[in-house]
Amino acid sequence: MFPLLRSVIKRVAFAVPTIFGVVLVSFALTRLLPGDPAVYFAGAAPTPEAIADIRKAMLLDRPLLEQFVSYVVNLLHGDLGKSLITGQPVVKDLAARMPATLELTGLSLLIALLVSIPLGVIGALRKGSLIDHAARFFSTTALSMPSFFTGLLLVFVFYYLLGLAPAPLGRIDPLGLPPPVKSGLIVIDGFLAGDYESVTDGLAHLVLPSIALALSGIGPLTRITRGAMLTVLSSDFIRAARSYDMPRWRLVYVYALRNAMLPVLTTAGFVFSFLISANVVVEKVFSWPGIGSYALQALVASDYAAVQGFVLSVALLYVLINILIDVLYGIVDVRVRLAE
Amino acid sequence: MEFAATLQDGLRRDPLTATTMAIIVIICLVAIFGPFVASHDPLATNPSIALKPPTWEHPCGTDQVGRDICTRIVYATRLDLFIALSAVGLGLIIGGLIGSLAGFFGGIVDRLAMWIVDTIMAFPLFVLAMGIVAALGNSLENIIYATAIVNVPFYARTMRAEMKQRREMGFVEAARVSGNGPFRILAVHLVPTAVPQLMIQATLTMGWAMLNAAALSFIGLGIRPPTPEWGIMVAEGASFIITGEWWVALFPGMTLVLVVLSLNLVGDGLRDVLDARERR
Repeated sequence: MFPLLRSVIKRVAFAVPTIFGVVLVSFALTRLLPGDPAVYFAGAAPTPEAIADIRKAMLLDRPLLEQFVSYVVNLLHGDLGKSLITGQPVVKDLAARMPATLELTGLSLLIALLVSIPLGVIGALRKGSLIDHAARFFSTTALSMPSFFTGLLLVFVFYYLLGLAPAPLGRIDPLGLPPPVKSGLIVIDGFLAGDYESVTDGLAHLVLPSIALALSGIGPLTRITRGAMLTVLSSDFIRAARSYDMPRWRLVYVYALRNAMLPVLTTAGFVFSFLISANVVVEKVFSWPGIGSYALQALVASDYAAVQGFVLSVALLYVLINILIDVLYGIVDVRVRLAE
Repeated sequence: MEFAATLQDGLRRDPLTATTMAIIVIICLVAIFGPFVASHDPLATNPSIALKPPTWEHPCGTDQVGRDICTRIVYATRLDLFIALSAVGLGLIIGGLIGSLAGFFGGIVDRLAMWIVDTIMAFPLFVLAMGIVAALGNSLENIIYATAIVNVPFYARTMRAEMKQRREMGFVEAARVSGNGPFRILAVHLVPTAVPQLMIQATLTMGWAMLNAAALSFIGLGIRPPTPEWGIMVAEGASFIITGEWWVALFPGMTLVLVVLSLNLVGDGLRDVLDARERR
């Protein structure tokens, strides 16, 4: 366990300059506002007292460096400011809405992986065949579809035309009773409470938005899987295994695929950032009560603390995911493990 | 000229890329000349024909205030192409500059440049663009700046890799020995060699820049109604999808998909052609 801990520390240390950059950018974004930032943070119809309070809290009369230091100190205390629309601390709002977003993003990443890995493997095994071309065309098309439009198309076909999906209005039927909150994920909470009606209702509401999201990740993941499989299949150890007359399924699905998974893992991190981005528009289309739609409400109401709090926390989440992937990579890849 | 020849040769063997290139040319022509031949006014409302499905008179139907959707798509094409082209152009200049300095000089310049690039990449890019437009203010220019900034990392990385690969080559040494300063070598001898790679990168990211800009206006940032723009038009049609008036969102959305898909296919095709040339 000790070397693992060391490699985690090493990766976190490696991410420090990036985290510093992210904080610097998000600080800049709160100070770039044209005119007086305090007026912006005070909202649509500010009272002079509110502006004075905010100016004091943001230290706007002090030198920039001092403002930055106090910004960082506030961050370390988990303080992202107060939201104007809810009157709550932004951190609290984001935390309350995070499960809805994670549920959606997690499921769509899973769907994207389940579709693109087989597609990429088939493409690599039958390079140049009709299936390969079809898979490539499909993944390029998926990459070219804006998720807000895919979402609308899915709603039109599966809700309006076929009546198979529920109305695109949130996570659960408006008349239904959500299960008691434990994990915040409706499907899991439903299982825990033995409330299977909530489970099926939650799943039914999840299907369309997660497919709309997943499509934006399928393009890059399929390409990477195909490329990685092609590289691995032409490598020496596969040729050797072939000469030993190993069964083909074992060769492909155990030896080759396992080695091809490393670049796929790295790309999955990148795809996560894609999905978090696409999440914002998909949540709008499906009225999904996650952090993306929270940020959009905040945008409309000129609630800057909430918007910039969202931008920063999403970026930090993404940095965290990348650290996690790096650590995983170290565990999976023997070469990295040996080099350390 | 040699590149043009390989391109011609490659296109002859790759009808898909040739077809999609033709589509792009047609779309550019529509963007330039379309507004002159469009039969309707993109902003003229007519409540008596609101939300009518496609007819011969209105091939894409009409929207909630009776505007002709087809005409609006034509005008929107011009605006969306303008946004994507300026964003990619601006991004290319900034990214190319950062990347070439980083790749050529290395050392502290390189580390600083890569820190900037990594910091941008640490954000989910659309979210960063959202934050930038929210901070700078809601306008067309700011949409362009934000889209340019989130594209910078891709160009900077491509340029840096190209410069790094070539800076030790004989022709650079020759230029140096014959008395050229580093900036002159970079500008005159090195940067032009990276143009094909950069152009491919630009084509591949152009579609993405378009999706990005359309998504920004879809969520209500930047361009405002009633200006015809694909993202806004889809957003306006969104509420009619669940009541069955599909044409309001479908036609502008399909146009966006068609353009982005063509750009991506052309980008892929160009890359294959170039890869094939380098392999030979």
